[in-house]
Amino acid sequence: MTGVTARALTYAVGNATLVDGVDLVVSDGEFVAVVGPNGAGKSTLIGLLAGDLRPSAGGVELLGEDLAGVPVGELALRRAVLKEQGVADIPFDVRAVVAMGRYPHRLDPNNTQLADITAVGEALDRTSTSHLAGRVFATLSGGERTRVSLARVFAQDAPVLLLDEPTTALDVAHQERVMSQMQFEARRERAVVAVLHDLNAAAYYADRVVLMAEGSIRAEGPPRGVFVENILSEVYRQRMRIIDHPFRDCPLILVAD
Amino acid sequence: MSAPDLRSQAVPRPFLPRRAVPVVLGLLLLGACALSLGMGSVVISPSEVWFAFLHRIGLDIGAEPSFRADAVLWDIRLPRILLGLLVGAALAVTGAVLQGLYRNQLADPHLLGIGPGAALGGALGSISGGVQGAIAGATAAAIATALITRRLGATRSLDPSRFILTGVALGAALTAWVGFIVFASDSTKVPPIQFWLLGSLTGSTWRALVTVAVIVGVGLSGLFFASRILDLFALGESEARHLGVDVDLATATIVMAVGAIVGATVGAVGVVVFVGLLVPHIVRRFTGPAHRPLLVSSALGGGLFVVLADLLARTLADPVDIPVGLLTAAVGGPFFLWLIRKPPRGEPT
Repeated sequence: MTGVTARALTYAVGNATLVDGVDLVVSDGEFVAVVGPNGAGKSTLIGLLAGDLRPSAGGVELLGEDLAGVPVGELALRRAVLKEQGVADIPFDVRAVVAMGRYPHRLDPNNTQLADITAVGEALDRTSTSHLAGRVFATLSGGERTRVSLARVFAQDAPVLLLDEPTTALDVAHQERVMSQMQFEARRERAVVAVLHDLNAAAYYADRVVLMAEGSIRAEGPPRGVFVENILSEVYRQRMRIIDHPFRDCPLILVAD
Repeated sequence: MSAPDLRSQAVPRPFLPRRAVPVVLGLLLLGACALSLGMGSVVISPSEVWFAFLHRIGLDIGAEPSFRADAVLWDIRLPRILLGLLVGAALAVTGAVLQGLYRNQLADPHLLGIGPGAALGGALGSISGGVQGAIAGATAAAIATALITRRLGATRSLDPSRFILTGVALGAALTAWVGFIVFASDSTKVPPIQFWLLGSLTGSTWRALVTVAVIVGVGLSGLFFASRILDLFALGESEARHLGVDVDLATATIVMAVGAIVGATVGAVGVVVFVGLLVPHIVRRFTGPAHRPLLVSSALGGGLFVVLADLLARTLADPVDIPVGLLTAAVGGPFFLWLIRKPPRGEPT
């Protein structure tokens, strides 16, 4: 079963083509990292996959069905989305914000109040935000807000996760925890697409890497296949060196002088 | 361990338990209505008010009320008080709804231009249709203005203050047109400019009350129904969509309901300023941000505020009736200043 499929996906505004003919298949159980320089079209791609933007050409399928034909309420049972920059001054407390992630399940006849409470509790746990449950969201730090928003996404419990920079403003320890939680989501048969800037985090945790440049996919495949010195150096316009990670089974990407 | 975080104390919790808020407000509202029934140029004692009420519902207990007291109570004061209550509830709830929808503390039906739009429609409607015409015209015009503000203020930059600026600009132009119509038309048919600018409950009738009650009743129940969706809007429009809200449909429906409610009140009593701004802000301190309790308590609090303001309006300079909006503005203006000087939510004070 495929979680999300993009076919010749294109998005143009005026003269600029932000996403240009992207073909992408992300299956259930797969964690795909989307990387690339600023302005490569990564966030636009997430917006298209989420159904926020209407493609200029091509289309998106969610769980094998054309996204354009799925009602917005049903869509929320299929995919959860973390935006790069959400609203910061939310007046609700953290528990209420995470509980909003359960809103789509009002349409699910099998959902129970217990399931809602359990899902919220688990999501808080998994993002290490349980101790913030009573705090007003607006008073949190940037990293805490990212984690709480991610908790809301986990609580939504959708088979497809579309995450735009889920590790923004996180310290190293929290970044590791969040990355392994995303990997865990994939292990329980979710399709996870995450835009990441930390190439080494992508190299270790992702099953597959999609490298974007100027709106198109420049390279795609397992981390060792995509994180190659000449490709990265060219795409980022920055000399890069790649060595074997001394103790993790993945490449280690370094900036060369 | 990290240092104690002072920011978590930025929002002080009042001592009143959340569940008690609507009960307290309801009791205060009942008290204010009772007080208002007895006070005015004809003073009616509480017992006389009570017995008159009992006689009306068919219980012949206590002294027979005097004809004059009975007429004052039933034909003048009660419809006026109930209309005030309804207008206050309508404006406070729509204020709270717009603040949620546009994620801006300064949103208010009149500041967003809906009030002035309604006044224009009301002035035009009253030329041919009297009070009922004014209500019909104001309701239609307010719905149109609310949709126009929404359309003009919408940008991709997601800057909620655009809606306020759009509304203020639109409102100023519309108010000027209200003035032109008032001065160009027959003053026996069209209410004077101060009615449209400041509102007045003078001469409230049961007929106007019933019309307003129907429109406001339908509109408010729709908005209460949408309270969970309004909660989700706090996350941002795209997040609400990600959670399954049809944002465009919800926004259009909410905006039209707000327009209808505000329009009906403006047609009947003119523009009563600052209720929609002031009441939800005070109420929110006690109920928290969730819209269901916020809207319920805002309705009660708005009713309380306008009933008390109107009591002052008709007793302060008796026998002169002061426009009720003068009193709500006298309280609301300084409050507004305080509000825009206050640091934004979530920042240390």
